[in-house]
Amino acid sequence: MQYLSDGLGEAMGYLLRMEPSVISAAFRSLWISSLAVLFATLCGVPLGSWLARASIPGRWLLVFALRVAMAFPTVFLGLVCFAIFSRRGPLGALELLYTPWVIVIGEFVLAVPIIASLTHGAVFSLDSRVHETAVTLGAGPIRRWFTYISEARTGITLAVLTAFARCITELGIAMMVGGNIQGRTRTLATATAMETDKGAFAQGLAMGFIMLTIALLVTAIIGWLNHENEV
Amino acid sequence: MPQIEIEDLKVTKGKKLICHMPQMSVESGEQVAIFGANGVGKTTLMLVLAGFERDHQGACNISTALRSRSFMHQTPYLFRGTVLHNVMYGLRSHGIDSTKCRRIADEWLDRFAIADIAQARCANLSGGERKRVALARALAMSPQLLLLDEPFAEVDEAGVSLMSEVLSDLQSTTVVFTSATPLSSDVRARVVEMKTPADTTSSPVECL
Repeated sequence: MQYLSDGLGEAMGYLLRMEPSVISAAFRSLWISSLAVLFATLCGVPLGSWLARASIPGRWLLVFALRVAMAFPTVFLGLVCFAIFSRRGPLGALELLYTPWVIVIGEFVLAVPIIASLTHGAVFSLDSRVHETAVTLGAGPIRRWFTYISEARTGITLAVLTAFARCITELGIAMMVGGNIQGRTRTLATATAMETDKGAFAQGLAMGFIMLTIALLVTAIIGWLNHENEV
Repeated sequence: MPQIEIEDLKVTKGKKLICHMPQMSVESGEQVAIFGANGVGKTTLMLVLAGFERDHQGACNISTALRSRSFMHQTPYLFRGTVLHNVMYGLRSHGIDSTKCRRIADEWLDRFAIADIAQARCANLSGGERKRVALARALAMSPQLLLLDEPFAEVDEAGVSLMSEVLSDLQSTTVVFTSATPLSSDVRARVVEMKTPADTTSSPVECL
């Protein structure tokens, strides 16, 4: 049990001392995941809400596929990204392998199905009076869409946070296509795995605690931005 | 020409006839109460008039465009946010600029005596307040045809007299509303009685 309290103490020490290697991994994790989730939100929320409201044939097949894709193992996504962005791969010429950008792309693919599926669920389960009330008050398609998003915002916030939690803690993509290069692609998750491998449990735990701190801050900020406490 | 002309309107769900209105005509500016017991299809008729139920037989001609009709549910849905946000929703949808929106909304909040709760969150309102907010929201966009499903149900006496006073002051709006209970003396409207669909479809001959 000693190493748990040691880890916590060490985490505090790292944060207070602003240990450069830890701080840089934390910032890298934060910006990579934030960027991936931002783009995934811009795609996933419109996709999910459109699937919830559009009446097109085969819509359920798409919803089903997105739900299955929510369970993508990150190592599998990492492998696919590796195959695409490696020298011999179709996008190898971009030379993105072992850069943070390819991690952003992998995490984007990880996040889109989560955000789209959960947004679909949130918008689909809205009361039918939402649509009727908006129509009867003269709202056009775009205003109606914003109304659905606004009415379902608790569920959509949860979708974004779930995707963010999955991205910031994921290891498979960052390890496979990022390569855990210090100062370039090392994230908190790859650093934690590496410290644990080295037997430096306390340092690994410290990284884990820092991840939790980030999760806490992000949840609080998004909740505050979204006026979650207001109904 | 009447604003609403209905001839042998029937709505069936599955194989069951859930709404039947043999004949009804409403002149522009008129106030009509559709009176009938629970389950006779009053709400379905309102949904047809509002344009939400298109799957019907018989004739239903309404000379008012969909944009100028406003429908209020029996239990109105208020959007998340403040009372003021809700009352301004329809005005904003019609592209009215925000200063004018605010002025019109304030007028209606005053008329329904809910100006003091303009900044209140809708989730905290009582049933009677919700109805008044929904009615203010519907009237703010000055519809030509106002359709109200059971507007006086679960509203106290003072609320009924306030709402009926506002409705009777309307100049150019045709109002059709439903009621399952006899109307209070404050409410002035032509009453159209609605019967259970089975009553009107089975002829006396079949009964013998």
